[in-house]
Amino acid sequence: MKAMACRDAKAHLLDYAEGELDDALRAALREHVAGCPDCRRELQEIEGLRSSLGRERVPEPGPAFWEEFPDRVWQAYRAELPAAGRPATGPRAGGGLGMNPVAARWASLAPRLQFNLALLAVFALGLGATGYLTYGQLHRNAREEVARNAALIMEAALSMRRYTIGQIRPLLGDSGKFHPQTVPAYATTEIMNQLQKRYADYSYKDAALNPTNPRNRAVGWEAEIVGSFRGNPGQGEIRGVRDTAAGPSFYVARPTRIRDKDCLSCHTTPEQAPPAMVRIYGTAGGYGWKYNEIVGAQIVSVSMAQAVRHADRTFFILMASLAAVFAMLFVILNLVLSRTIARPIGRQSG
Amino acid sequence: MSIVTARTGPGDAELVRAFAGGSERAFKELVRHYQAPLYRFIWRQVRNQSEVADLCQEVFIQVFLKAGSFRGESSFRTWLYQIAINRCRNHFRSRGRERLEDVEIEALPLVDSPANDAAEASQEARRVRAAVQALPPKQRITLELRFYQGCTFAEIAEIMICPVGTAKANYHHAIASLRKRGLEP
Repeated sequence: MKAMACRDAKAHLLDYAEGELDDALRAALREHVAGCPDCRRELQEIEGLRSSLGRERVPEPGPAFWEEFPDRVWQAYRAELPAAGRPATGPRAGGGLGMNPVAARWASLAPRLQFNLALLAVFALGLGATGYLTYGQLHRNAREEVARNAALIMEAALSMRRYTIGQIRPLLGDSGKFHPQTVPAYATTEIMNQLQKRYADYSYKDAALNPTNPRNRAVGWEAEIVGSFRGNPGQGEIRGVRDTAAGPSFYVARPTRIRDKDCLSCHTTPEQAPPAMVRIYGTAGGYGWKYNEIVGAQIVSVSMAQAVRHADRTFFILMASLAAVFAMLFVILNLVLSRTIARPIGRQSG
Repeated sequence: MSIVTARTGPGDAELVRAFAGGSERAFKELVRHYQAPLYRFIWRQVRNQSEVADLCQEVFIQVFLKAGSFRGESSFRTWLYQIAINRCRNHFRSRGRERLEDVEIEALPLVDSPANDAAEASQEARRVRAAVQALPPKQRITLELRFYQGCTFAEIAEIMICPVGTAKANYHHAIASLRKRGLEP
């Protein structure tokens, strides 16, 4: 057998002292130590060190303590169960640690996974709640904005009607000729049509069930609104949203009631109406109106498509930003967790 | 030294399963088997007898509350010591000191010793304690696990989440440091 070198022997002295070497190595080292005073001294130091360490005694509690300790721990464990979210009854047959299956499954997950799942749940909950509340609020805001615009257009239309009745009709009404421009519905519709050329989302109609001008005839949903006003004369305004091919459309309607007896001169019978008007519009409609009767409705419609698009875009940007913030938080928290908890434990352990 | 002895009857994994199934007997059997070595291990960490029993109890409770995550891939013992190390570390943090080295050596209690050589034993105990406590934490804990708890290097590596080679190196460094400090008879 080849003699062991001093350097190799020193590397194995501790293992030798602890009985960790196999027979061949042990025999070689024993032989080397027998002939090497330096290694022999080092081995004696190691054995002496082990002996010193072994002399340190822990002050032990007495046998009575150990006898009752398992019961004490059991009672403390049982008392701890409610605080840990588990039944105070402790483990039960088939129950797995006294936990319900979900809690048992949760407890079996790695702490890091538990942390991340909890974090994701909080983020998902936060994102969901924020999304739900924000989406509703943004769409309410969009509708309110559209409603404000519609009210403005309606007030503008009413002003045009009053202007036509108060200032245009007196100027042209006594000329002996019939000018459609003196009719408030005509004037208002014409002006609004001009506006619509630049702002296609806004429209105005002086809808009537029995109009003189056929373009003012109320179509299905408009006729329903007029019918609603006629059935409930005290109703001052109707608002709503209807679906159209171009998307949702907000409307506001006010009743057209005959309050000016001068109106009846054109709308009672064809014979009483100005011949020039009869020549333009014929005798098919626009007659038989009565004083104080609701004959139609002024209806302003505003497309909600653009406002909804704005709300949706804002919603998307907000949610994407929040998701990005959550994602960054997720990564940062995991990094912080690794640096402040996981690695220190590893360092302590390794 | 307080090496855990082998025992007859059901193994740790079997007892943990039995406990999960509702067995109080399995719970107490596990506590009974590990209570003394765990007590000694914690005592060597905190060196304060008034706190050891409570810490020992807390470690056991923590272990059993988390028993659902014990899959038997590692041994119950390594898992127990992992939790004990973390609990001791938290204990020091809660006391406003990071580790045992921050405690004044002279303030530490003496170990029990026979009356006839009490003075010599006291001096020797202080010398050993001071030398061990001067070691870096990972070396000190490795020494505790290896020398006093009789863990294999594979077990130490599992407890301290490190390669087996690192566990061996830590132990050898610890012994070398103690020799340099002249801790021999």
